[in-house]
Amino acid sequence: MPTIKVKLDHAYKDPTVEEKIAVWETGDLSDVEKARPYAKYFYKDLNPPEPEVLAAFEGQCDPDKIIWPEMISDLLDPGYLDVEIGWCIMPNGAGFIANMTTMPGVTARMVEWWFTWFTLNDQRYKIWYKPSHIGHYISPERRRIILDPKSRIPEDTIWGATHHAVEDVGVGPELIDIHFKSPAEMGFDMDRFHQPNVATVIGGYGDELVLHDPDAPRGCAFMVHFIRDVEGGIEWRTRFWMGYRLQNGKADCTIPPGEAVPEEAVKGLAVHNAHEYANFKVMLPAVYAEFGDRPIFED
Amino acid sequence: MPKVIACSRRRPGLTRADYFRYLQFVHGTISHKFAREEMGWYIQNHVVDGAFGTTAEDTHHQLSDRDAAVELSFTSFPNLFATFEHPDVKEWVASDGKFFADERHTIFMITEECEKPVPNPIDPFNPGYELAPGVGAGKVMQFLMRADGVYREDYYDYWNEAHEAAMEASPFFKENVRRIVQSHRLDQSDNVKGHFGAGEIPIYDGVASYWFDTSDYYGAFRQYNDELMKFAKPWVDWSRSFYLYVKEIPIHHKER
Repeated sequence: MPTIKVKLDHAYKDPTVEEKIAVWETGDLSDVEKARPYAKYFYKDLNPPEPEVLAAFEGQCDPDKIIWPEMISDLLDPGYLDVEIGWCIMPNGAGFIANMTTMPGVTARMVEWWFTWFTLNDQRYKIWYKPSHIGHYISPERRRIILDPKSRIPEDTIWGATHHAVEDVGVGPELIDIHFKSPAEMGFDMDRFHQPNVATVIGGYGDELVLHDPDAPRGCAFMVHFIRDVEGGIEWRTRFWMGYRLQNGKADCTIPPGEAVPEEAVKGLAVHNAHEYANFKVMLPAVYAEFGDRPIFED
Repeated sequence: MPKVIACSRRRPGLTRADYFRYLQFVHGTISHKFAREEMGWYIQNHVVDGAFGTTAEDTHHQLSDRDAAVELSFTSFPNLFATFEHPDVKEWVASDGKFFADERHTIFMITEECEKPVPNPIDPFNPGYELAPGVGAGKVMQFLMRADGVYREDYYDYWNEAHEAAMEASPFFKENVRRIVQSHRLDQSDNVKGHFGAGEIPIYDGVASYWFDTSDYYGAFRQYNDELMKFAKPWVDWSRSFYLYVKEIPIHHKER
């Protein structure tokens, strides 16, 4: 296990990042975590992604057929785009990822509930996808908002939130600060942002810190999870533009000219996305059935 | 639009006059000569006076000596990187820093600006002022270090709350401040600090700039700052924060 070789922000304590990684490395839950009512979900077998999805991620897709961040409203069009599953290096050096997962029995409401509920401790993050999800932090103010019964989901609990995720998406453990935004701030055409074009959107941008490599540049990525209703469930369409961040509602590429996001990083995130959402689609309905009808609680 | 802020002190052996002369007329000239098309504007803020920490401390907890803060604005990140990575900029501009600055102690950051509304961007005394709202010859730059244990997002939220409360509690400031800009530090700062030769430097997550008609109104800032420090929730390490009274020297201003 690579040790942490970077200076971490002083806010991450109780437990520290090192302590979270130590628990995760055991491959098991801590004694405190085992006593929680959702511990059983950690021990369930993982639902794997469809083989054709992993096959599509073996090589790069055609960069001429992808959508760029400023074309994000194309997701609101009926039907499907040229690339729904694939990854590539864009001409400007950014990394593009597309993935689509059909999720029977899942609703947009469940999704919004999850992105509020899971943030309250490491274990809820781990039951989502334990091979990669190490731990999670939110600030005291964010915790207060989430636990406030008057808070609206997603307007108060997701839009404007910052999640601090400790996870390994293929390049070793990282600390990723994910800044969630409203659909308008992501650049969607709000005149078209309604049913049946869309059920909900979860997205924003993330800043990453590679924990074992102090020379690794600080990367970022614009992320969109676009959800629309289908018969019996939802369609989950993900887009990543690695190297982009959102600034005042516009996506800006931070890749220096002549450089590019490493291919293994883009492919690694694509494969991770396939795995985590393959498990997500069976985990979420079960967890929601047990905990979704009660006020958001921490334990 | 990303904006770079670099706050330095003079290198050993230079008086303040030596430093200002070199910074403005030598480095400024070099910078202007090699200014890239991609650059927006470049302003030097020469320090007139400043205060580090608070009167509650009996000794300084930080390097308490800053002589200038420069600001460079770009329209996009690609333009920012194109500028700093250009061979001419590397050879002539970046390499010049060692002749005037104590580079290892330069505070450096890439920021995102957030402008706050002010009730009186124009002095109502003279109609001529209407040509230039939101400007002022008296400028204060305040570097606010996040308090230990406070998450960065909470720091920005508390800053807004503290600012609103301080505005209401300091009428002289509220009437006479012409413009307020908060600059929020971005993580991408770590990717280009080498241009300024920065070593292990303290991290300031926010810098506030305030403009007044003249330096006669620095007392207005003091009134506001006293109120800012009264905010109940811990968000700033005041012993490691500081403010500078500065004089703006425009060097390159393509956008302005």
